[in-house]
Amino acid sequence: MKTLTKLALSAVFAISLPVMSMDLQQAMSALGAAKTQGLVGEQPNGYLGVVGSSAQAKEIAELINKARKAEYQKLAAKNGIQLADVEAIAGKKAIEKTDPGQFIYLNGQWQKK
Amino acid sequence: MAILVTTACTPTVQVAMPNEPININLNVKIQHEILIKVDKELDELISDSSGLF
Repeated sequence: MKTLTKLALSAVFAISLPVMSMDLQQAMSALGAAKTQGLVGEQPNGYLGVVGSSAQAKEIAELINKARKAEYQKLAAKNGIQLADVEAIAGKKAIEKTDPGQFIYLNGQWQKK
Repeated sequence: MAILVTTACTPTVQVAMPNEPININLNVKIQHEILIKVDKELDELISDSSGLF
């Protein structure tokens, strides 16, 4: 009985813990397709957002965003300005440079550019 | 009579030199230049080479 409970518990944990099956390199390779397929889009805060609710898209966004934040922090430290300032400029630029047909987050909702 | 009119109170404006030096704040300009620099650096980051955009 106890082992059964343990087994059941470990099964639950296995399901609830998100397993990162991707590394940054793979996320970077998958980014272009994820954008054109409308799975992820650019937001004014300088980071990728997940448009739908695909687990893969979520993973791509998380990995890319972590790497972006590191770059933003480097820029902020180097120039002696706030991280938030760098994020805001980056968000504006990323949205400007988004290709038509891909998603951007504006006025509280996802829309096709 | 005419003399009286022309010599009536002539206003004088006095300009006094300030005792302290005049400070001109250049922080705004410097901040602006930093933002332009960051703008350029972000352009480089976004232009595909990083793979993060």
